[in-house]
This record gives sequence, C-alpha cells and structure tokens, in this order.
Amino acid sequence: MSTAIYSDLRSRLTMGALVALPFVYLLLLYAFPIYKVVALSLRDYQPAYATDDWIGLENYREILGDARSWQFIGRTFVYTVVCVGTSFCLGLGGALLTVAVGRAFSERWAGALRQVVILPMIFIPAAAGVMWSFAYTQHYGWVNHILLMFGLPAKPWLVTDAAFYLVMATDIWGWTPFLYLIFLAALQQLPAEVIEAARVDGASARQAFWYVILPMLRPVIAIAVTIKSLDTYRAFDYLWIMTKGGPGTSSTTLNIATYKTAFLDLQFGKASAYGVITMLFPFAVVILFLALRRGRVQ
Amino acid sequence: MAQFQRFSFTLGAASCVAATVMAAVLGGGAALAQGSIPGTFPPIKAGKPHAGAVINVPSQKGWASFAPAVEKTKEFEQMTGITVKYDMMPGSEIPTKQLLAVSQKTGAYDIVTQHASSFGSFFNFLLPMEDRIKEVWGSVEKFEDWVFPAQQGVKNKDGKHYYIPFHANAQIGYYRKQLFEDPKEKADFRARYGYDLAPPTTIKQVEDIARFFTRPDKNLFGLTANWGGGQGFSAFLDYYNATGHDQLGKDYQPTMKTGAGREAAVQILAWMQGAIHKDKFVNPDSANFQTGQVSDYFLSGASAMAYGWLSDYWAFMQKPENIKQVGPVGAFRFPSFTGAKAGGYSSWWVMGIPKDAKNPDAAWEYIKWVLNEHPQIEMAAGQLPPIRALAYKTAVEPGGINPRALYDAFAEARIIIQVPEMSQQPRTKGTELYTQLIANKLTPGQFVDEYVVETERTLRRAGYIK
Repeated sequence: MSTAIYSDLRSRLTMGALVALPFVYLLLLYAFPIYKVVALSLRDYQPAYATDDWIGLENYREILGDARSWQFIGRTFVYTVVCVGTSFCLGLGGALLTVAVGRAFSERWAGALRQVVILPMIFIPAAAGVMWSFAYTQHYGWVNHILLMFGLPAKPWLVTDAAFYLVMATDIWGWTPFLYLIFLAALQQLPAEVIEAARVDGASARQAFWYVILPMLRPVIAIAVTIKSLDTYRAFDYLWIMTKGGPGTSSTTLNIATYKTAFLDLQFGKASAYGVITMLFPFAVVILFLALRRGRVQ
Repeated sequence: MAQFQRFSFTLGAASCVAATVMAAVLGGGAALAQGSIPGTFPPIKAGKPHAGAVINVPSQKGWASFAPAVEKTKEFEQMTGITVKYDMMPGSEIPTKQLLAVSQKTGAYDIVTQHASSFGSFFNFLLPMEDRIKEVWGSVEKFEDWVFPAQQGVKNKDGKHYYIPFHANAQIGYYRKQLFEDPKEKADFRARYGYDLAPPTTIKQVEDIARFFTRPDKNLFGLTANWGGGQGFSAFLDYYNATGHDQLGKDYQPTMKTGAGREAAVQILAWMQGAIHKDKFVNPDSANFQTGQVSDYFLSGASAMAYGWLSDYWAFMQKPENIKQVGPVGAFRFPSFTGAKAGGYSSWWVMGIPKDAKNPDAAWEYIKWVLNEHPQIEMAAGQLPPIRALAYKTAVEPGGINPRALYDAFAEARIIIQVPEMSQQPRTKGTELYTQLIANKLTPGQFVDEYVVETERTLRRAGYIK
C-alpha cells in the first residue's frame, strides 16, 4: 500500500517538475530580463560615473518630452509598415508569378525564377549592408554608374536625405524572399480542384484570386506577416551598417536610439526606458493576434 | 676530550661560516630572482615570479598596428611564464564591453585597453600606477619625460596616472610625389598661383593645390579625407585643436561658445562643408569615408592628396607593388587654419589595471613588455611609439619607418577629452550634428550652437559649471 502511495507521489512530482520546466524557462529567460529592464529604466544608471539613482519615471518623461524621440517612434513604424507592406506585395506577387510560370511553361522555368528571387537570402545581412553601402558610394557604386549612363547626377547617396529610404529598399531586397518562399509553399499546397471549380463556375482569374485563393491563404498570410512585422520592427543591422542612424538622426529608429544611448552614451537607465517603449508594440501585436485567434475559435 | 671540544668548536664555527656563506648565496639568488631580464626596459622581472599566471587582455579585432605585439606574445610568455589570453573585440565594443566587465567586478580582464577619447569612464575601476611607475622610472617626472606630453591629458582629477600609453598616432596629409614633381604640373601651378607647387604649409595652399588638381573629367580630386561619421567629427576636432584651442577653457567653459574659438570652429566647418558641396575639391564620398576607404581611394589614383590616419598604411604605401597607380607617396603636416603652432588630435592608446584584475602584477609585467623596444619597433610600422626617443628613432633619424611629419604632428598633439564626462554624450551628439553638417543639412553656426549646448549640459550635470 505504502509503495503504491510512494510511487504515485513520485510520479506526481515528476509530472509537476516536467510541467514546471517551461515556466522556469520562461521565468529565467523572459520574465526576469524584462523585469530587470523595467527596473533599470526607473534608474539613472551610468556605471562610468558610479551613478545608480532611483529616478522613477524621469527617463520616460525625458524621452517622451523630446521631439526627437517621437521622430524615432514614427520612423520605426514607417520602416516597419513600408518594408513589410512592400515585401508582402512583392513576395505574394512573385509567388503567384512562379506558380503561373510553372503552369504556363514548365517547372524548370519556375525553378529558375525561384532561384533568382531567393538569391538575396544567401547574404548575411551584415555583408549585404556593406555591399549596398558600396553600391551607393559616388566613386565605386554601380548605382551611380547606372545613373550617370542615363545622364542623371551621381551622389554619395547615404549622406543625403535619401539614406533612410535606401536602407528600406535594402531591407525589402533582403527579406522579400522570406515571404516569397512561405507564400510559394502555401500556394503549392492549395487544392487545385477548388480553384478549377471556381473557374468552371465562371470566376475570372481576378475573382478566383480575391474570393478563393486569398481567403485560403489568409492563415498563412497572418502568421507570415506577424513574424515579418515583429522582425522588421526590431531591424538593426542594415540601418547601423549603412547609416549608423544618420545623417544626423534622419534614419534613427527606436532600436538605433536604444543602442546609441546604451553603448555610445553609456546611459543604461535611459536606454532601458527606450527598450521598454520599444517592447510595447510587439506586446500589442501579440495580444491582438491572440485576441483575434480566440475570437475566431469562439 | 679537549681535542674533541676544539674539533667540535671548529666544526661549529665552520658550519656557521658555511651557513652564512650559503645564506649570502641564497640571498643573492633571491636578489637575482627579483632582478630584471637583461636588455629589457621597462625591466621585466627575472626568475619568472608570476609563472603560471594567466592574464586576459582585451584588444581590437583586426588592428594591424597591434598585430606585431600579438605575434610576439609567445616571447613574453617564454620570458615570464605568464600566459596571455587576448579578447579581440570590434573597435565599437572597446569602451562598453570593458566598462560593463569592470563595473560589474566580473574579474574578466587583467588589463583595460582604451583610447584617449574614452579613457575617462574607467577611473573609478582602476588601480593607480604611481608606485609602479616610481619603481621602474625612479620618479613620475622621469616617466612623464620619457613619453610624449600627451600623457598629461590622461591623468585623473587627483593628478595621478592610472594609464600607461602603448600607441600614438596623429592625422596628417599625404601627397603623390609624381604629381607634385611633374615639370608640366609645376609650371602650370606656378603660372596660375604665383608660387611653387610643394607640400602645403598653409590652409590656403591646401586649397589652391586641391583646386588645381581637381579634374572631374579625369576622375581626379584634389583631396580625399576621412570626414565620415565619428572620424569626421574627430577630424574637425583635430583642426580645431590645431588652431590653438582646447575644447574647454580653464574655467571649463566651452571655448567654441564665443570669440576666437567660435570664429575658428565656424571657419573650419564652413571650409569642410564647402570643400565638398560648394568648391568641390574634396571628393563627395569623403563625407562618408573612414580611414580604409581614404587609403583605397588615394592609392587608386583618384586624388592628389589625402588626409587622415594613413600612417597606419605608411609602411604599406612605401612598397612599390602597392603604389603602382600613384607612385611614391610623401607626407606633410596638415596646416593649422589660423597658422597657430599648436598640436591637433592625439590618438593615444593606453592600458590600465582594473581593481578586479585577478593578476595585477602579471598584468604590469605585460604592460612593461609592450613598452619595450621590441615589440614597439615592430609595431611602429603602423603607429608611432609613445616613447619620445623611440619615436624619434623611427620617424626622424635616417632609415626610420615613419614619416617625419607624423613625429612633428604628434610632438604637439593633445588629448581631446579634458574631463572624463566629455567622452560620451557630447561626442555622440557632436557626431550626429557633424554628419548633418557634412551632408549640408546644418550650418556651421547651428552646429557650434547646438554642440555648445550639449557640452554645457554635460559639464553642468557633472558639476564643472553652474
């Protein structure tokens, strides 16, 4: 009898430990770091000058009271929306084109097109950033050589107002293949008979796309766009390598501002406040996503 | 019995003498163990008193001028029995990674390696060097006399040394000798400007020569420079210092705020901005160039002169196979904007020992070794030794491997950061403002006003001014 109780207890303890593991993982690797960042954001922590004082919401007040911070926030959203939006359109368009080429010509041509489109994925973002920085120089850059061929003026583009837009173009170039591959895989999995039935029923190609293909793709689109949005929102590599947030602060986003405040200014309290502000948007997206999902399930 | 007693006494006396002799020999041995390895200065302790110690030394990844020291480290390890482990990090991480380690007292490093623009953040975490300096040089004054005057600039507020220098560098001008010595070019230049074409000694001459050689149809610019981002801001500070102004006056007020300081700053910034956007004798890419790009551009034959940290490439530029496009390269001291005889921006790399170092004595042996003639002579291919006599030997004496102009520029160069707190925020803000200015989005006056405000904010927060 007592052996059975002991065995039952041991099994319950094992189960409990196994169930607790993910919580310990979440606690150690998510909750604790977030708690530390939030706690640090309430202090004036500058180790260089042995400053570590509790200042409450002063860092937030300073950041939100500075017009430049609002520019950083606005620019972060512009960067995210433009890059995700454009990559989405290009990725979906490219995937549809690949499927169409495969059906109209041959799978070989579709395969060739796929290889070309996903080519940017082989570049490490840091290397791609350096490569594109060279492309935009006045002396070495092929971009300027092409412009000159058409009689247009050559410029060191990354020290002009165009810098921010050129970084966005590079991000779109680098990350469109990611969405393209997801959409292509999803399109290839769609049941052909449903689309054919729609065409037999008289739906035009556009109607088939809007009313049949797109609704079937919606779950994949939702996940892909969510992942891509969160990823683009925390973009850092292209921006830092190509412009370091400049000229001036004209391409500084929240991430760049956080990095500069922490690692150039060595103001870790204020940088943590930037970090907390930066975290709010992903939290909102995740909560929205979960709410939508729950609504759909109910 | 008496004989035995006499024998015992004699034996006892002999034993005492022998013991005394042995003690003397052993004492001598101990003294020898505390002596130094012959031929080393600063002296490395003989007898391997720190054998078995492991020291962690942070340094910059891919730093060509420090590479010879890294290569020769085996010699130091054999000499002392100390093992050196390098933590090579990107230049951008040099201040932060080390600061976080020492401020958290992790004991990760036995040495702190810093540039003279970021040294100020570490004073709270370093051991003073005064006693060690006195032990080696006899007095602090003798040590100060042994190295360049720039060392005065990295002392703490308490007047003590916490750092030992190991690397010096200055920004100077470079020119293509073939262009400058071409009879046709010389004649044309004289006809146009009324004086001989030669390495410039005034800013007006820099401008004349740069304008003269700017030939866009031949893809040639007069001057190329490292005027991009943080390096560009440093270039501005170099020119500003060379006008005879420190960033802060004796009362800790920013000298750019009013009077001659403001005039000089505006003049320099207007010149830099105009050289790219209006007068166009500096290639536009210079607004984004760092040292390596200046070197590539200059050696590709696209400019007649160059400005920057090119002494890192000086040995490279002396090899015929590397200068096929441009021919022999000469160097000149970049002139002061006001004609003042003053030093510019001094790149002064220093090492200190953190309070949480696990092996501070072994670290000190390493620092002394880095200052020895070898590896300093090997390192001199990409820098100037911080030791005055050795620097003179490598740059001024016949057969030296550095340009004379570098020695002359450095002899007067000063540390740009006068108070530790100027290392961070004003520098970040200054760089941001500068990149706007060089992109032609800010006027020199606006730059000066905003930079002064940021500087004052920092000084006020740190309690230097009210």
